[in-house]
Amino acid sequence: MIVIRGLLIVFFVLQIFITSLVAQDRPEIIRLGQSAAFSGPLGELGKEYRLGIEAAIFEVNSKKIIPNVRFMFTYYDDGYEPNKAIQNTRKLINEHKVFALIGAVGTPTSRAVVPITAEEGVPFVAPFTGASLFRDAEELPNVVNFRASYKQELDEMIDRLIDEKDITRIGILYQNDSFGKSGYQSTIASLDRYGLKPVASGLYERNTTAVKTAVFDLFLLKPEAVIIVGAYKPAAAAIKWSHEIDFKPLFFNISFVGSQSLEKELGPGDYNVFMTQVIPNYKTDGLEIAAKYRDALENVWPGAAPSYVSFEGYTSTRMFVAAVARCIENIERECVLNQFKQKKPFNISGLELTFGPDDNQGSDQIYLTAFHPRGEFIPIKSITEAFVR
Amino acid sequence: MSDMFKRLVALRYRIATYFYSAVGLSAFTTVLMILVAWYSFERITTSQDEINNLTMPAMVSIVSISKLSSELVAAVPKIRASNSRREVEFLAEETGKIRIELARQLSQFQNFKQANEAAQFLSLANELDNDIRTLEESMIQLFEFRRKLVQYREKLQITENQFRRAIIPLTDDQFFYLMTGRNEIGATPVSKNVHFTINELNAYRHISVIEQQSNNAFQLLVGSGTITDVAFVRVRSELFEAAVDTMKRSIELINNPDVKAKIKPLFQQLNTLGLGEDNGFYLKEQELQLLDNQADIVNRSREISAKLATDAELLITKVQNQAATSVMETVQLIGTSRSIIISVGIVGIVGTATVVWLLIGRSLIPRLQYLSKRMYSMGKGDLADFVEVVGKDEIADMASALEIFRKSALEARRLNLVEELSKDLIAKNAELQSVLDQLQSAQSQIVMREKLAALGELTAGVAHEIKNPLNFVTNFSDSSKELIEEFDEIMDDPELDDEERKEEIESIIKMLSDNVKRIKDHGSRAVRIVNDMLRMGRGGGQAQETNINQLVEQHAKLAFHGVRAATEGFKVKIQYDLAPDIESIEVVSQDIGRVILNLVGNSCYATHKKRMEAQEDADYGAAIEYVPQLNICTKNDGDNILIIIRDNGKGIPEDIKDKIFNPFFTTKPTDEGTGLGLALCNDIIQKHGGEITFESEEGKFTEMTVTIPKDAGKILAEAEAMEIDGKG
Repeated sequence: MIVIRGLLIVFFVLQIFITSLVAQDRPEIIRLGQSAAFSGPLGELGKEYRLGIEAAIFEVNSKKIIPNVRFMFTYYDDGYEPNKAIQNTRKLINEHKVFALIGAVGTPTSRAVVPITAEEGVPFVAPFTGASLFRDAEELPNVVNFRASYKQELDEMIDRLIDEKDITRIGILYQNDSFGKSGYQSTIASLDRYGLKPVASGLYERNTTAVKTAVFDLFLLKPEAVIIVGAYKPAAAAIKWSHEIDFKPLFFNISFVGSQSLEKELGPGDYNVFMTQVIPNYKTDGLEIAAKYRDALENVWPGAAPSYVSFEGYTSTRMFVAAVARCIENIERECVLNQFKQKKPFNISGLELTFGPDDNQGSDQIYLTAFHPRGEFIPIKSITEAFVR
Repeated sequence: MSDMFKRLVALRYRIATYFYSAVGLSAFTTVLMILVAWYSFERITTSQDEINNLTMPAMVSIVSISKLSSELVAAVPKIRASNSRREVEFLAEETGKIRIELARQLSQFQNFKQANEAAQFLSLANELDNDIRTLEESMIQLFEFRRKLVQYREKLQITENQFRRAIIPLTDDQFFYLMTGRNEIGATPVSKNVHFTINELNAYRHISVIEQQSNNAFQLLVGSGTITDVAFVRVRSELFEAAVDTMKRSIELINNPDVKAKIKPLFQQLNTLGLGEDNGFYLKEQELQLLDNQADIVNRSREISAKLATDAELLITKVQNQAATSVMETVQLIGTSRSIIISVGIVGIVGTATVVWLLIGRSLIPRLQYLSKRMYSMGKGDLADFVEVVGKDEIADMASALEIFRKSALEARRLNLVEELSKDLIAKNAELQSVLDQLQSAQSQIVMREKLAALGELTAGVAHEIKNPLNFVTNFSDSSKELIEEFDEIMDDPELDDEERKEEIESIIKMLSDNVKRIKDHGSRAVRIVNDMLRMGRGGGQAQETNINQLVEQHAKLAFHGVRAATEGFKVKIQYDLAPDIESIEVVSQDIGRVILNLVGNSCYATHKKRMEAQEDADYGAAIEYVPQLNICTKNDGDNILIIIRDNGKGIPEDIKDKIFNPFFTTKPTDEGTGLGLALCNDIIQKHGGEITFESEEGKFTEMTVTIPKDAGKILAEAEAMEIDGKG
């Protein structure tokens, strides 16, 4: 990995060097930094997201989408550990002098890092988390979100369960940490809109797959649907053990789980698993950005499998580049951040994103997918559609 | 003997006696003052030496001792606050140096009066130093413990993670198995009477206990890091022991060998962390113990510091007192000496002043003043009054001498008076005679100079006069020579017959005789001119019969030529109007000639000056209308002959009209005129018994009239006769 990364940097530098020979003016270099989990239970997520960023940067640089501006990218692994994330962020800001941080993975790590970036006025762009606490535009003027919030995802799930399936007996399985707790509270709030309460709950220790006790807790009360707020490994374990004991509710995962990782963990099988996504399917025909993403990914990492997470990384980066392009006269952090406080929408190759003075989140879209027994998540229009088989 | 005594008695009136006694008194007091001062300085030096050699070094030492001891005191918190072993060692080295220096400084005090205090101080400092050494060692130990603690905590963290990762799934698995009879996905579940048994339930309980107690034990170990009281460490240690005991019991009671095998090594690790060698509680306890000891040392060092400060102050006070005493002694000594010196000085000055005042001020000065006044008046010639003699001293002697002098002076004056007067007279006479001689010689010199000047002027005129006849002589000579050549040719010409030859010869001879006649005429004219001149130069003062008209014309021409020769661009028109009825009269023709020469010369000068000014104006555009003109006429008015010379020159300014006959008065530039011309003329004419008058208007004309009586010869002779008489 390090070798590849090194080659990539060499490549970028070479590219910049060559362009600078051709162009009269030396291009302005904008450095982007990422501190994310590239190892541990969330390692796959970080790697996927990074692929997206790299694809976007490569595309922007090679096509010279912004003349005289070249992007460089540096990243460090934090292993989903807040302490490590703080160290990495400091290093990126102070030593690498990054212009912005992009694609932090996870709620606890982001939460640890945001105060540092706020202090330095460094844009904190598109963290891979839907926690509400990052969506307060007034409190966090330097945070820019791309994706819809967990709350929106959970609302969507519960709305659909009630509307489409008339299911009200809903349980929740969550991780014993700030991420799990945030998901749990959002679920309660979401259910409360219908005057409902979760009928059962299961709790498991973070960084373990000891979910069986939690599964048994849920099993005892037999909810018709279980919302999982957790990592992909315990989620997969929980789904499998439930089926093992003939407890087969509809499982709903939020996007943070990462569909590909979950697919890998589950393997083929009929599990009644659903998942909400905050980005359209990368295979969607006629969606320009999806096509561009696939091309870009193929250009950077030939043969790499596209995914929702890397697509999100790609789109988020494109979103940031679009804001930089609007500041071409004076590329300053303040100007770029200011672009995300305007109501003027961004159109990223057909994908429309809107911000505002009190809206630091570009997309409100939720896309529902269902786990196909052959072992992959596919986009669906409604929950009922999944049961046609 | 009685003579001697009398002389000695007489001495008491003498000024010298008083003077010497005054000087003696003043010398005595001065010597006394010097002695007192010398003694005082001696004493002050001794006292200062004491301060310099004993007190000052002691003070310096005290200052550095108190500085060093405060540095030593300051070392305690510094060592306490240090963060590393190296820092402590560095500080230890520093304090060692301070201690050595302190001991060295204190050892100096053995020589002083404060040796006891110094020894006490040193023992305190040593005590403090010992404490510092203990503290240093303790600090080094503390760092060792802290280093171990850090390692320990890392190990603790790792062990806890391992423990939790093992025990949580175990609990989870055991519970799920107990409830469902399933161990693995896909495996067939066992029947309920197999999995839901008292044994399995107990197993779950024991694993749960282990999980719980391990949590508890880890909490105790982690939490002990923040304890500051040793007593609580021991309580925690006991609690930990209890938790470990409980866990041990539960592990023993677990039947499942796999579970046992998984937990046991982790449990051993936990046990070692809490109870083994260098366990957390022990390390913490040691650390706290060390900190306690250090606190004690710090407290004690504080007490010692206070004592040291007091002792240092005591030492300083003592040394200061000693210094103060020495200084006080010196100051007192200086005061006493000063008083003595001042008293002696005052006595000396007052005594001397009294003696001087009594003698000199009251008796000597008035009498000296009287004597000097008398001397002054005697010098001025007042020798009439007697000189008073008062007293028996030197001044009385002087007064007597003066009286004698006065008497002699009176006598001498009388004798000298007549002789001096006659001598004076003779000298004055001689002086007057010599002045007169000088005056006469000067006068004749001046006259001679004037004569020479006139001669110079004349020479130019004469040269011109002579040149003309000489030219004629030359021309006619040349012509005659040609005629003679022609005559030779005729004589030799064969073509001519005798008749023709005769005719030719006759005509040549006629021409030759004419030439010879002309040469003779012009030669005689030249001779005449030269004779005239000779007469003028040499003719002397003899009166002779003179044709005035001829004299006037001749000298006027000479004057004209003289001026013309000397002056470039000179022009004047001269008109003569000489009365024909003027007979020859007896005059000194040379002198009268000079008068004419002078007057005509002046007129020429005046017209020329005016013409030059007009010319100058013309240069600026004015038309020249001025024609210089000179009228010379003679008249016979019966008794006198008048010579009138009138010119239309510059005229004589009004303000100098009465000065023109003064000797040395001239309007010409300094190098041109002597100022004697008119004065001499006036003299000459007056000698002849005549006069020179003039009329003039400035810028228009000047008319000079010379009046010569016809009997001038008689007058001249009389005057000469009188002069000869006078000389005799």
